[in-house]
Amino acid sequence: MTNDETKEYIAQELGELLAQSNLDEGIKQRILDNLDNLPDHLIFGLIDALKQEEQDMSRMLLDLDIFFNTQDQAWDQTALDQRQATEEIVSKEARNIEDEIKLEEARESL
Amino acid sequence: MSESGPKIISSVPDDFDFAKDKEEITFGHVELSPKDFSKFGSEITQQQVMELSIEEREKLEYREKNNSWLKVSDRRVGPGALDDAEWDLAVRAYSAGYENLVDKEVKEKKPEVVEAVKKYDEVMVAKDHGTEEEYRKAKEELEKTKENLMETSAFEPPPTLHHLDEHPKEMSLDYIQRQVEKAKYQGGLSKYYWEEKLKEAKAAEKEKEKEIVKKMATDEAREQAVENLKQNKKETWGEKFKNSVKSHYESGKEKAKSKWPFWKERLKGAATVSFLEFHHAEKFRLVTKDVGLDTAAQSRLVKVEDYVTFDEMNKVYRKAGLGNNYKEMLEPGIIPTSKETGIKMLNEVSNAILGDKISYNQKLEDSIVADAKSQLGQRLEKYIGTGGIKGLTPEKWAQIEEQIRQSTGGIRKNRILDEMTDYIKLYRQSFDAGENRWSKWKMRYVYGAIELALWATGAALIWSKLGGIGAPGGGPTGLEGGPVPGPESMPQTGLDPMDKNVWNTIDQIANNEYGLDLNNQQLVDFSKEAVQNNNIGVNVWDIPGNPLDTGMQSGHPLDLSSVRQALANLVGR
Repeated sequence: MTNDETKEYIAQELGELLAQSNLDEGIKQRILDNLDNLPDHLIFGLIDALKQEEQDMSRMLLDLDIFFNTQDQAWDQTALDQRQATEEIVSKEARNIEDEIKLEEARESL
Repeated sequence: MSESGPKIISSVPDDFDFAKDKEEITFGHVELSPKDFSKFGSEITQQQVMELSIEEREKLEYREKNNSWLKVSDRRVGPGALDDAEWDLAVRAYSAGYENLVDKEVKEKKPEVVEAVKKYDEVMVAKDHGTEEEYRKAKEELEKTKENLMETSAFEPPPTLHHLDEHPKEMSLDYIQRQVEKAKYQGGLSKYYWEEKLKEAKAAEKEKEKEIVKKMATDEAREQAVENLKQNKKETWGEKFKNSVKSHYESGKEKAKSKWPFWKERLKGAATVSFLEFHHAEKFRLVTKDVGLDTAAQSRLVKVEDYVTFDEMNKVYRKAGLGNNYKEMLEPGIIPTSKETGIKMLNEVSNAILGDKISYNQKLEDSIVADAKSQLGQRLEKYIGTGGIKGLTPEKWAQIEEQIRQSTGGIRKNRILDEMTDYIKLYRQSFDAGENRWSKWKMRYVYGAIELALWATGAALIWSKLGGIGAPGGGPTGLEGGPVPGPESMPQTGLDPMDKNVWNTIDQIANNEYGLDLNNQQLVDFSKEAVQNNNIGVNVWDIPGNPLDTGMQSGHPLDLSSVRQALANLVGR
């Protein structure tokens, strides 16, 4: 029979793990509301699962952070590419207009 | 006492004049300037010096700097402190030249110490009562002893705050204890520092021991739980445990808030672009209002070997219960599962960020266009005529602007496609239903325990929606089946026909033939054994095999001999 002191250790661990879990609040409340009926082996199963969740969440957050940072840089590069492409268009079109004007002026002077 | 050294006193004389006396005075081995004394007035006692804060002590000059101090402890009370006779011996030995004397040597009356004191006393006697010659000889003898003492003195650099970098970053309790022992002979700041360090280390050690006790107790409880499970004994921990967890849950919420600042930050603005849709191209389409984009994305993705088409991906997700089918299976009102919450969060975050990026880039495009018009105007300035810039008619400008917008829009679209492919790659690596973290986490760990916990308490029957219709325990195996042929239609091979699914078949056999009402964990264990014995693959358990559980029809012959044996053992047959 597990004594009260040990149960208190476990209660603290489980409570804190649940608080930081990504589980839906509704699920958490249902778990909490039914803890008095939960067999002891499932309490440990729950703790293990929540610990695993925490570890994997940390890894996923790292993945996502790297992903978003990479994308941020790529968007900055996109803006540079867009400006460069625009400058090329402007340059080309300006040349065309200049050529047209020069041609027009030449035609008028003849 | 050395005439040139600081004056050593054991208490401040009543007639001490602070204003007149500019000489530095040594109290024990803590040097006090008249200014320091004035802080306390003439009432200062040794005890008061000991009670100074560390900052105050730092202000008092520690005699280490001129190395002309007694290394014996200035502590005169408590265990190990020097008594008056020992203190006198120490002072006389110091005066005789024993400058590195430590408490232990005084306590043990080391022969060299006694010899030094003897020589010093002889000089004092000769000075007062002897002839000039006797006094000179005594002084010579004392000088010899001094030289000898300088060589034999067991000098060891004291552990001071100035040399902290010489100590390892991680110090064991033993190590600190040794430093405390050394510092005892030094007194002053070092002693104070190491004693404090020892207190901290002991507290940490105590905490560690507490953790070990906690772990041992928890492990024991865990073993007990396993034993209970084996014996089919249901032990619950009652109302008190529930309330305690609730209380820790509430107090842990604040701590948890600061744990995921990343999500909070990234979720900003998610409410404005909030839709739960797994199909990634769809969200790009919605954000960009470009109906052709998802087609472009799909055709692009198909070309990439690493990826599969969205249809194929959806199939995988649906099979794993992650796609839209899963949602449809759940009745309205049923709470979302952890996996849905995770996916929802991820998509919301991604949508919000992408939405921001696209909208920012679209605004940027407007400024690029405005800049372009101004650049063009400057370049063609010399051609300005009365009707405006020659050649740059409104029609011409509209044409150029269209060209610029097409170009920048194309670049943006490519960026979106890049991000989409990267995102899908990330999703597949981290969250997809294959052999990866997401599936392991969601399927094996979270589903294996959390939903089972909910299920066992009758709090939720989410899994039953994935299991066979009407299966009393359509549990975490997700073993689906079709119509059930009667057992009589099966050939008598010693095999059992599958009834809806493996889970249900075992449950029925246990109930009908052995009178057992198996609990969920037992059914999980037996089902696992059965699928392995029959080479049935179950993706959600990462058990390989052929056929897959999801593709099996009711009536499929199953070898349940080992399960039957275990059931027989349970009822003692």
